Amino acid sequence: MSVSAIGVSPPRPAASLRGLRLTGSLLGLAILSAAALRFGFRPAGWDTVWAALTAYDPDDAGHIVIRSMRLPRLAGAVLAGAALGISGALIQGMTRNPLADPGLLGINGGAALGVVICILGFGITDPAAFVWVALGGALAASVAVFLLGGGSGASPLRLVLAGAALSALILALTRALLLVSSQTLDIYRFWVLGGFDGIVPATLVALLPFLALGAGLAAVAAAGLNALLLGEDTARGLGVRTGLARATAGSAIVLLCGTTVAMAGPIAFAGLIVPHLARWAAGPDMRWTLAFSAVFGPLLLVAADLAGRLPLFGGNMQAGVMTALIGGPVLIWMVRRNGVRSL
Amino acid sequence: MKLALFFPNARARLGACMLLAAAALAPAACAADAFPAVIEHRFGTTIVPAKPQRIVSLSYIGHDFLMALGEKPHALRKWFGDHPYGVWPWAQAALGDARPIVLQGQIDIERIAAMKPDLITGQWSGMSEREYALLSRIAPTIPPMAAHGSYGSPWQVMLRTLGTATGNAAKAEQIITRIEGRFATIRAAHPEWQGASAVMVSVPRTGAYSASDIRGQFLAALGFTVPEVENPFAPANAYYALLPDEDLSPIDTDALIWIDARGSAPRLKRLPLRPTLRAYREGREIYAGRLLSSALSHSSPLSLDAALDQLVPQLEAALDGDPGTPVSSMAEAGLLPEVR
Repeated sequence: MSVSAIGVSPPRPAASLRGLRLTGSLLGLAILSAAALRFGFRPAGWDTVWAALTAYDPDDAGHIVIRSMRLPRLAGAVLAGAALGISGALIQGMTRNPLADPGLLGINGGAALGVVICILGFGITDPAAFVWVALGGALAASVAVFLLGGGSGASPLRLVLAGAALSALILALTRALLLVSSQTLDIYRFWVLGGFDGIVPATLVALLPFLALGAGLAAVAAAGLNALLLGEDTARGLGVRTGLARATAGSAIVLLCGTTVAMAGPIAFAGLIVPHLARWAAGPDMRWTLAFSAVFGPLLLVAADLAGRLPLFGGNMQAGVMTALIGGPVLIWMVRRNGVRSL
Repeated sequence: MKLALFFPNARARLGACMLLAAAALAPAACAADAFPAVIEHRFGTTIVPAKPQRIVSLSYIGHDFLMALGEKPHALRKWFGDHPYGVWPWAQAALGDARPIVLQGQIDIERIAAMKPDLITGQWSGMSEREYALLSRIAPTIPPMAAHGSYGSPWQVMLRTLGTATGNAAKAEQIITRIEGRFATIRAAHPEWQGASAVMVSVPRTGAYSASDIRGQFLAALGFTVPEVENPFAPANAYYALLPDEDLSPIDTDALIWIDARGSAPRLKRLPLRPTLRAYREGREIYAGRLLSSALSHSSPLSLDAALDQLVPQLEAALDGDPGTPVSSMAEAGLLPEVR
């Protein structure tokens, strides 16, 4: 990235480094994505991958696997990764709590309860049909957390406490319901791990508008959150309407995270670790943190989904499990070398 | 070997004889109702001192067997479904006006002790050796036979064992003779099935039942050969092989029976590789919905008749050699290929 010679502000080496890092990450994501299309249970060569994408033969089993199974799976991992990364960065910025993750607002719990009620009460067992109840549950629970936390005047601490309390309550309720029916448990226990192997293209398409809206709101909220990171009073002094900024960020979190849970189940850990990596790479500016989170999230989830298919992990490990297996050591390594920035 | 597994009559009968003879109780008539009854199994030997009156059935399917013998369990363990007392339609008549206690979930030893049973039956219950030891202190307890895993006992073995334990040995033999006779009649009427391949595959996670599973045994009893599908993910499971959805070729048999107890037809409909199966293109798939798949999964003296009633016409339609003959269960589930 060239530095402008006529720029008013002096050239900042951090900026060019940032650009380099972002380009590198995108390149890494492209390589991982190609690998995600090629590797799996059924062996395929690069030529098959290319043919499946450019000259699709609906009778060729190899093409079907790449086009109808691995491609939606990859798209799901990329979308979910971006959504979780962005919402994680937003909630950590909003609450100024480096341990906050999107699950904290009751979103995962609400979605899980919705799914269990759906199986138990209505006998619906098709994961593709869970989407709308999961989304509804996530929205309902997060609205409840928001109201319990004090509405638009909610302080970050009250919000987090309300989220933790309500999440615990919802979890207890979910488990009580699961105890009643072993059949529900059986379906639920695969859903709750989170993963992309059952992703249906139609579901992805239906959920895209929610993700787009969430991403748009996140972009709008970024500037306000930058000011909020300086402290409530300073932000007000700068003329930022803090309540509005929080509400915008909150809506973005609920939309992004709720849609992800609906699509792939509650994927733990991604929303926690990705913002840390992003801040490490991007510096303190929220807008850059969001941009990096939107790339690092997919990197982590595509890698997790791909690693879950390796024989080393049994060949069919859910991505939601692999996220923590891969992300955990990375986070520990960052903490050890002081790579974790406080907020 | 497979044959011996499926028709262990002679051996088992001989064994029972020898046991009884060794106990010097009823050396002449093996089928006679004799107490104390002595039953050898995977965890040792159980002696039932007298005809039991309060039977607690911990097997997910065992209450069907007891009721077939005319014994109404004091308590039974519900498997799945929302039928009264966890008893499926084919066994409701045998249940009559009995009101058994319904157990669910894990084996609750304290609760069982409070029932003061005089027999605890648990073939197909998954009970551990530790649970067996504890339960044995409450009442004589019957776990699976040594030759069969927790969920692999053929129905004849289960029925014969329960017959001996409840003093209904003669009745058990009678039932076995009748049902085996029905299988033999069907086999004789369908020479084209003999040696053809067939497999039962469960959805929502695509998994093939092996030849040693009771569903595989059912197909073998009709003369089919059940393919050995290797489980790429958990090679240890002898009953069930989870299949990667990226390769369904191991289950592309002459008759492919989809076992769906939980309404997963939508998933089956969009299973990407299904259209590449020959069985799909040639109309040799059968859809076993909730009732039929449960009847097959119970494989009890009461459910086998129901399963045969439903499945035999489907198999006839699937294997008539004409891809144009629709299999009615596939049509009803909306699973027929759209363009043939």
